[in-house]
This record gives sequence, structure tokens and C-alpha cells, in this order.
Amino acid sequence: MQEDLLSNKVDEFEEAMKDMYLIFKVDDQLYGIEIKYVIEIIGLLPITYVPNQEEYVKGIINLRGKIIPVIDARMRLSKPQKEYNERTCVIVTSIDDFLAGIIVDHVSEVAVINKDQISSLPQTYEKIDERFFRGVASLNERLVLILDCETFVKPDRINL
Amino acid sequence: MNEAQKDPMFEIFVSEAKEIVSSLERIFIELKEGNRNFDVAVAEALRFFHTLKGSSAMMGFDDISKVCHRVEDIFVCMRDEGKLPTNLDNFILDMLKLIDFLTIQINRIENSQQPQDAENIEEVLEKVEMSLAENDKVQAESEKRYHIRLLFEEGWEMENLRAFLIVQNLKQYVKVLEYLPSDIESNMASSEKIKKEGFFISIETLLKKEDVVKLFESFAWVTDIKVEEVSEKASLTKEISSWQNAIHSTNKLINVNIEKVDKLIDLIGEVVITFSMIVQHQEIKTDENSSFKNLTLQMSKLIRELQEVAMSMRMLPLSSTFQRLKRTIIEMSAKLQKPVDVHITGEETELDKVLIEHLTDPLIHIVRNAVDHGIEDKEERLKKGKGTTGNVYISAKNSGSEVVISIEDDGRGLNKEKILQRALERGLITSPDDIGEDEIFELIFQPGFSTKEEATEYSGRGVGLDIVKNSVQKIGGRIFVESEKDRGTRFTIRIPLTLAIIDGMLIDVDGNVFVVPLSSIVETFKLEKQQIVLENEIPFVYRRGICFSVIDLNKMFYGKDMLAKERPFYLGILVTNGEKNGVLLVDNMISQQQIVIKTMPAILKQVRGISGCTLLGSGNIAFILDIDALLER
Repeated sequence: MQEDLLSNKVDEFEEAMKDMYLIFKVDDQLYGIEIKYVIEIIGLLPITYVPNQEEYVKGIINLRGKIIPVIDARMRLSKPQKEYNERTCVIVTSIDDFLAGIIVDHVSEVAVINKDQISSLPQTYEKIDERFFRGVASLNERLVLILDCETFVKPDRINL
Repeated sequence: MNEAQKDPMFEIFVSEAKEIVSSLERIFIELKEGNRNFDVAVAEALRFFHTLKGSSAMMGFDDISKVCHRVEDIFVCMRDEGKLPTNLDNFILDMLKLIDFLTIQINRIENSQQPQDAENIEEVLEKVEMSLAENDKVQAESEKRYHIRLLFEEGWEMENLRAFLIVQNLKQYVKVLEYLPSDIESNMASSEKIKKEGFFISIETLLKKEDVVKLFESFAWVTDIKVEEVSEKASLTKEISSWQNAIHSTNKLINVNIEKVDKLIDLIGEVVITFSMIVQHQEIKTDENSSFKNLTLQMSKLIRELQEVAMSMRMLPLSSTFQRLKRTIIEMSAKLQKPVDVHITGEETELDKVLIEHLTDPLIHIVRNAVDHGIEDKEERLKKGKGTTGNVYISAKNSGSEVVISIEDDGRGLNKEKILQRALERGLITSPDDIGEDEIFELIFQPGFSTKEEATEYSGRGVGLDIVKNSVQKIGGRIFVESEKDRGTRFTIRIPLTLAIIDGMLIDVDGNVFVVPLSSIVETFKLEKQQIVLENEIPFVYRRGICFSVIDLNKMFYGKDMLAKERPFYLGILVTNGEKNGVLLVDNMISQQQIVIKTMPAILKQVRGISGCTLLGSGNIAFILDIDALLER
């Protein structure tokens, strides 16, 4: 009985999180990832460069004793590099128990975006890596590109 | 099934069942070797089967409980009606088959797979049932020997004198042969021993077991009486050691999930790091307050001790692994009709659980080779003037921060000519002169190398010694082979005690900190630029008559040339993996310290030459060098 209650709670919680997105900025564009992947948001920590990685993998950081890789959202999205500043932060995500940090310019808010608000991207733009995007939604009259957290964070070659 | 898996009851069942199965295996192997009295073995096995029957029935694993029930019947028959198996060896082999079946079932249950078909085991059971002969045990009315263990209630003190009292009293009724500890009258310290391990007595009497027990019941401080009838020869000391094992394994152990232990070790690792961050903190470093310094000193001692205790929790004795080896040998020796004696020493040597898991298969492989290829047939042995029974010696011992395991047989030894011929065929060497005398045997670790032409049940399944070598290397170990014609072959494996913590040397390469495992460092030295020869861009140094290749870490990892820096001298570290050597060029050697190994995040690409990373006192990350990979070129 108690377990039922508990699992209901978990379901409710998941239900509530389902349409929530963390919105962040790279340059002036808004991007959103599902909040269920997000563990926490931290300031930039010292990054240790790891040899022989994809360019967008900046290295590893020490998050309270856990060693996690960080990737640069800007470079993953093939945008020109920019100096990190005090607003730069790291979104710590967890996908199937694998932790990874995403370095973004600025985190703006958590927003609710319903499924029917999301429309697919136009197919015509060759420069957009469509694997990363679930679609686009409008939020307070600004466009948010919804990212697929898994393909965005995980390297292309590994099936974890 | 999935629901049941989350249940802590389920976990308890699985771990208990595994323990029972391995205890059963031990009983039958000891019985086979004649180290255990048949009746005692039957009684113990019966108890284990009974427990397993009960718990598996409760958990709803009917096939296990049914099999256990059948076996229980057989054992009850043997115990109560005096029936005996006609052929003890076959009986034991059948029982081992049965234990295998149970092991598989339990593993399948643990991994929530479908249980195995029980049909084969039905056959085994019927065979065993049929083999029980009617020959009643001869109940001789002669004097019998009993070994007795008494446990004393705590808090009575003067245990040695109480024990003495018992012995004196006993002498009126029975013939007391021996008691342990034997110095109860004179040595007060024996009291502690009795408290811990109990008091052991060996007697000879016409009395029945029940009556013997009654003799002790009048002593109020005796809490537990264990009486076992033994054969003439059985020595008390041997019996005691088996009892002691039983005491230790039943009363003083609890089952802990390995993940919890790992978590604990992780946490302690973090405490270590955080603590050194505190000590190195600017505000504290500059503070001259000596009482604080004392505190930190004390704290660091405590933490180190805590770390050691936590690490030791992962350590397991090698005994169960050795038991499996022994069992493999017993089975093979029965099937191949080659009598083999197994001699085991140092089975109490402890090793990290994870390492043990990785070692078991390689060891079994070596043991199989020893019995299958190494030990000759009876006739051949006789011709060579050896005893008809072959010998396999399995041993383990601690040596510094390593454990050395060796497996030796007194068989025909490795055939040098055949190995050379094979190596020529395979193109591993171009001429027999290519290779030094002492390197010939190393060839058998090459991939695709097998001197045995035909495959047998035990070997030639496409798994060679190269796989063995790989798995040993994977856990940071090294393997060596020695052999002498007609004298035998010995494999020696050296492995680090644990994977989680190593002693390391911190080095600086252009501002990046790396850790070199201390075990791979031979020496460190200064060298000047002109001592480094650059031929075709390939640097090497010449030292004491030997040429070593230079490994430029800066170039490898960061694309910068170390040698481009003009400096008065360079620092070189000569490293080895036991076979190959190389010199690392570094800017600075920082310090030597214990390193908590962390694995690299799985979603990164593997970096050749880096085996893991660690956190430094500063909170920075340092990479741990994989010396094997660096030397492999």
C-alpha cells in the first residue's frame, strides 16, 4: 500500500517534470533541454584538458570528488569559440547514470513547454545538425530550440 | 521475478545460497581427499541441503527446493539407515555435478534468467539413489574417538581453570587423549584463547555420542558442545582448524553489498583529498598555531587508518578460488585417468575481490594445462622413474605490495624444440637464433600459440595463454613461466594487492601533473641534452650499456616537443613493465604519495597511455600513466 503511494508520488513527480525545460543561452539564441536530465547548475570549475578527444570536449572537472567530462555547447553547435566569463556556467546532466557537464553562456530559466507547442524544424537548413534537435517552440515570443539531450551529450560513436 | 529482486530478502537468499553451495563444494572436496570423516561430512551436507531447501521453497524457487529435498532423502538414508554409496568417488563426482546445477540455478535467479532444465540432474539423482547399497555399517563395539569443542559463556573469567576442572572431571569416565590449549594449568593467557576459540578435547571411550554430550551438561559455564566421532588417525589440530573456520565464518561475518563498500571507499578517498585541501589551505598554512598542527597530524593518522580498514573490507582470501582449482583438478584427474595430488599453501592470502574475480579464469586455464599437457600418463611417469601420481602445487604469498601466486606441476615440462618449431611456423621468429634461451618459454604467451595439436575436452578451445596473459595484465599483474624437461613447469603470477590505491610518483610535464605508479619506476636520473640521441626524430638514451627509448609525454599528450626546451639538464625516469623499459622525460618530480585511483569517465575516448585519474590535494585532477601502454609501441 505504502509502496503504491510512493510509486504514485514518483509518477506524479515525473509527470510534473515532463514538460519542463531548462532554458539556456548560447550567443543570443535560446535552447532548451528536458529538466529530467539536469542534476544541477554550477559555476565554471578548473578544467583539466584530456588529450585525444573531440574538440568540443573541453576536458574533465572535479565535482566534489566526482570526475566528470565537460563539453562546450558552443562548439558542439559549431559556433565560434568565445572566452568564458563570470556568467558562463555548467549544466550537470545525468544520462543513464553517466554524468556530463554542458558549458553554456548563460542559464535563463525553467519553462513549461507542452508537446503540442513544439513544432519540427524546417528540413532545409543544411548547417543545422538535425540529430540534436527535437524541434522548436515559442516562449514569450522568443524561439527556443529544443535539444535532444542524449545525442547532444553523448559522443557520436559510443552506444552507452 | 523482477519484483522479488528488489526485495532485500532476495539478496539475502542469493548470498546465503551461494555460501551454502560453496560450503558444500568444500565438504565434498575434503571428503574426496580423505580430510573429512564420512559421517561428519554427511551430517554437515545434510544440514546445508536442508537449509537451502527451506529458503528456496520460501522464495518460491521450487526446482531448487525439489532437488534439495531429494538429496536430503538420500543423506537421511545414509545417516539413519547406514546405507553407503557403492563407489565413493563416483558419488562425490555426482554430488559435484549436483552442486554445479545448484550454482547455475542460483546465478540464473540472481540475473533473473530462466532457470535451467532440471532433467539432467534427475538422472544424476536416480543414479545416486540406485548406488546406495544395503550394506549396513559395521557397528563395532570398540572404543571410539571423539573430538569435542566446548564454548564457554562469557563473563565467568578464569576460563583456563574451568577447562582444567572439566578435564579432571572427565578423566573419571573416559580416556582423555589430548586437549587444546594444552597449557591451561600454567598459562593464564590460554584463558583468552578459550574465550575466543573454545576449548578442544580429544577422548577415547565406549560411550555413545549422546552420553558424551551429557558429561558436559553439568558444567554451567559451557554454552555450546560439539562432539564429533572421528577415525583413528584424525588429529585434533586438523579438526580444530576446520572448526575454527566454521566459527569464524558463521559468527563473525556479515554480508555487505559490495557496492556499499565501494561507496565507502570512494567517500574515504574524498575525505582524504578534502583533508589535504584543508591542510594546504592558505589561511591554515600560514597559521602558526601549533595545537592545530597537532590536530591535523592526529587527523591524518586516523584517516589513513580508516582508509586501510575500508580497503581491507574488499579483501578476500584466495581459498575459494583455490578450492575451485582443486576441484577442476579432481574432476580432470578422474576423467583423464591421471591420478593427481593437489598441494595448496597460502590459501589465506588476501586479495581485492575484484582482482580475484579477474584471476579465477586464468588460473583455471593454467591448472587445466598442467593436468592435461603437463602431467604424464601413469606408464610414462613410471618409465621416467617418477611416482604414478602427479603433483600440482598451488601457492600464494604476500611479497611487499604484491601477491605472488604460483602453479607448479611435476610433469613433462615445456618442449623447447616444439615451441621453437611452432614459432617458426607461425612466423613469430625467423630463425631459432633470434631468441635467447630464457625467452623461448615467453613465446607461449603469443597470440595463436598452442603446442597441443588436437583439442581435448579441457584445452584447445581456442583460448590460449595469450588471453591468460592479457587478463593478468589487465589487473596490473605480470606472469612468468619456468620449465625444466621432465621436471615440471611453474607459472608465477604477481599482482598488486589492490586496484583502488597505489603508491605513485607525481611528476610535472609542462605544468601538467601525472602519476607514475611507483611499482614501475626503476630509477630516476638527470641527463643532459647531448646524452639524448635523436635519430630520425626518434629519441633514445644510452645508459650503462643499454639503449632505452625516450617517451616524450609532452609530445604524446599535448603535441609539444619536450626537447625543444633549452634547459641545463633533463630529468629522466626509467620505467619498466617487467619486460620492456623506457625513459620518461619530465620537468620536475613533485612528490611521492598514495593515490586513490578513479576511472576516466566512460563517455570520453580512451587515451592511450592513461589508465585513470586521481584527485590531488589541491582538488586538481592528475592522470595516471599506463606504463604498459606507453612501452608498447
